[in-house]
Amino acid sequence: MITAKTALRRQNKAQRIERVGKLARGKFVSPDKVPEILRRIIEPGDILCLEGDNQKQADFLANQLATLENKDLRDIHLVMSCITLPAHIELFKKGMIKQVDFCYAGPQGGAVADLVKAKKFPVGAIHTYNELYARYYIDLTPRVALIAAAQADRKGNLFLAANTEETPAIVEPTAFSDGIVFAQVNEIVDKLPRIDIPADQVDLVVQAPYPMHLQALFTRDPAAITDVQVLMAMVALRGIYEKYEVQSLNHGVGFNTAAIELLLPTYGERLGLKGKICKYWMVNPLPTLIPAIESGWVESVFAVGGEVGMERYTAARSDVFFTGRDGSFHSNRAMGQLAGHYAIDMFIGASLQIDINGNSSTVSKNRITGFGGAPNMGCQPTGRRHPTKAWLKAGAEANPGPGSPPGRKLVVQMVETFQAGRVPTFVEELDATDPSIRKALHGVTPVMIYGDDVTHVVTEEGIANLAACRSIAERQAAIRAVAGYTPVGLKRKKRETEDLRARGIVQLPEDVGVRPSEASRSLLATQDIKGLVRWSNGLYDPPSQFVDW
Amino acid sequence: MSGVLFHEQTARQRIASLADAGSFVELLPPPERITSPYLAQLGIPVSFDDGIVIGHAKIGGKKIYLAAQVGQFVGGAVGEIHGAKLTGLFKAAARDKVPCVLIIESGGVRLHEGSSGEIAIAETMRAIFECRALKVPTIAVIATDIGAYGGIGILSTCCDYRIMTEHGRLGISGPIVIEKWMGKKAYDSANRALVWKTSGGKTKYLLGDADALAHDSPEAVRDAIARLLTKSSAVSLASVKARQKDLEKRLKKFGTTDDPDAVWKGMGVRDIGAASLASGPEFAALAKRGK
Repeated sequence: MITAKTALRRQNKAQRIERVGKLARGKFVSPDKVPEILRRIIEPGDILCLEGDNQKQADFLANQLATLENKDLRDIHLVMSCITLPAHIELFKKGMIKQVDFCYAGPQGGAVADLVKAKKFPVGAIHTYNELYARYYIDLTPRVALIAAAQADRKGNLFLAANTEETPAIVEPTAFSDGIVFAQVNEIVDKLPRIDIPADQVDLVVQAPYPMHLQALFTRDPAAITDVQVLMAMVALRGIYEKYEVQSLNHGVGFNTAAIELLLPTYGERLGLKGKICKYWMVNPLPTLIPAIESGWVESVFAVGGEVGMERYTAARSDVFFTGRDGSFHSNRAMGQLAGHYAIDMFIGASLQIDINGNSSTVSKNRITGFGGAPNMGCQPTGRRHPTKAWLKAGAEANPGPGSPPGRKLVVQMVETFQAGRVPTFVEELDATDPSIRKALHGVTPVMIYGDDVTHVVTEEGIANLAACRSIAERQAAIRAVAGYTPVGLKRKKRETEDLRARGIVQLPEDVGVRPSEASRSLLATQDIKGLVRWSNGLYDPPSQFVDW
Repeated sequence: MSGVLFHEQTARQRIASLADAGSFVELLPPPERITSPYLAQLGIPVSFDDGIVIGHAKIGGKKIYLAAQVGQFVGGAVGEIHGAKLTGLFKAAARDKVPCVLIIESGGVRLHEGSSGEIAIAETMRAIFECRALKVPTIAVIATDIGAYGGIGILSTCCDYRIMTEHGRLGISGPIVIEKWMGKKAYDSANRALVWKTSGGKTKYLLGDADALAHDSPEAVRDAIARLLTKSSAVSLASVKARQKDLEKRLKKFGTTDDPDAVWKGMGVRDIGAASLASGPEFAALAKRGK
């Protein structure tokens, strides 16, 4: 009896593969057969996983999937990290999707908001990366996974190159539950530089007619960093990095943190902080980190993904980056997120909106973007037990009760009080609380970082230490104190602000030893992309849109 | 690579960092409120200096007339007032026999007051040639991505010398205009590397259209100006004919190539990669321009 039952799922997989029949030669299929093969291997009601995060996309397979019609494929439960391609939107427009569970909608945020309004976006939930990967092992295990790799050998082993990203997190739950793993590869070779996914976890392979889409997401042109961002970076360096001796950290993708990276070899060096802070990083290979690495600040960098153009540099600095035996860069999104959750002193990032309780969100009425990985890092990991100096110091400040951990991760929101176009960053209430959005998400407000998790808010006005606040009212006053001339900031009361400042909960730039008049782009280790190339000794190859030489 | 970058400075910051401390005296300064009558009629904001700062100053103790265009105001474009200030400055230079330096940042004539702008540029060119006939040095500095285009591109080539940095661009039609007329296939204005390799300071230096290639710092630009302040050459029939011959040769050599690197190679650059990253005099050393 038991044998018959256990065999069912396996039999089903065998039947699907059988249906492919002569369309494949062993595991290998030609690109023109892909739509028909997809039609044969995917069944109505399937949980279908499309590989694609904010950087790497199985775009050829997604595009082929989008050529099918509702009669070929329907009732699909789509699971995927990032809805970023027009092909993804097409699947919804054609009515093929009965439910979607995802993390982030980046460039398609506007299209997703439109689909939600048209009631064509049956969302289960918006997740964080590791939350979704975890569910692949619990209740969202894919029957079919469409993935992307750099190379396959003749047996179907896969090499993932710099952008390993989320491939292992998709393949393992699929392959070990009799699901079908279908890989698009850039090329098929006789010998791989290294094997990242073994052939027996791969069922079908197609050499795509064009290389997989890779987004240069973490390239920040130093030329676009402003003096105000330099000021904020100086304030953060003195008021947080130096104060807590932050050794292990994650940086967001914004210009604010890029400014910090470029200040380390200059301003940071002058402050004598080298070797004391910023040694261990969980961050993608940020081009703006090159000067700090070359100046000897950085011990190690582990990444959730690669970055276009950093291949030769990371290979050359294998003493800092994780690299395969072949010498090339290695990333892993699931493990990187795990590291960012448990093993770092500080997460620091930006946001589009912050409310008076410190909640932040990137969702607006016309753009539903989602989360990605920031909430996995920008939260208090109460499962953490190992102490570090920064963790204990932040913990002591937060005055833990008998029922809470002794330490705290530093979770820092670093924002200018106004976004581009004079849109205030600080608001009384997030756009994300919009009833139609809450309804589409089954009552969940899409908050990126919860106010309770945030320890500090840094603006050009100064630092608000939320962890040191002793009441909700005090936290709100601290946020208003650094919210500048936004409507939220204008409601601050002078006496409250003075009291908070006297207690060190609110700190102005001069309170942490920064003179605003000193803040200038000329402090940056380099002020343009070409300078980064020079710092890398010519090993960094910036994407063409950043090259003007 | 660190420090104040010339291309990021404002016009007034540039003047302050080029001139000997405290030596700059502005003529027709903002408090005089001499603004464009046309922009006001069109309901467009005016600027109290009409997008150009003019005056006299000293560099290394030597008196010069000095102008800096304000790229942030209508792209540094030349209207009636702006143009009149420019013409007057070069006329003063000729009258007083004092060298004149123009820090350029302009797309050419201001469309809102086109005829006045065209006339002003023509009159300024005449004033420049007056200077040259009197051997009064005239120097154009082109050091930002707004560059010198249209009428100002032509005007810059009337001066004795052009100092450029790698950020500067020099041409007649801008990249978008060229693309519009010739098609994206012929010239992709979004291809920044192509744009700078065809109109950027380094290529202009290689071809002899720029006389000096400076680092992107106020100090380097000031040194380049100081070096050129002593010499001037009159324009003669022979000098125009010689220049014409040069241009014919250039057209013959590079007229059919669509690869900017081929121009670099043809002008003696051996290591394109290294030259791409080099700046100022280091680039000049790698290039060994036609000498």
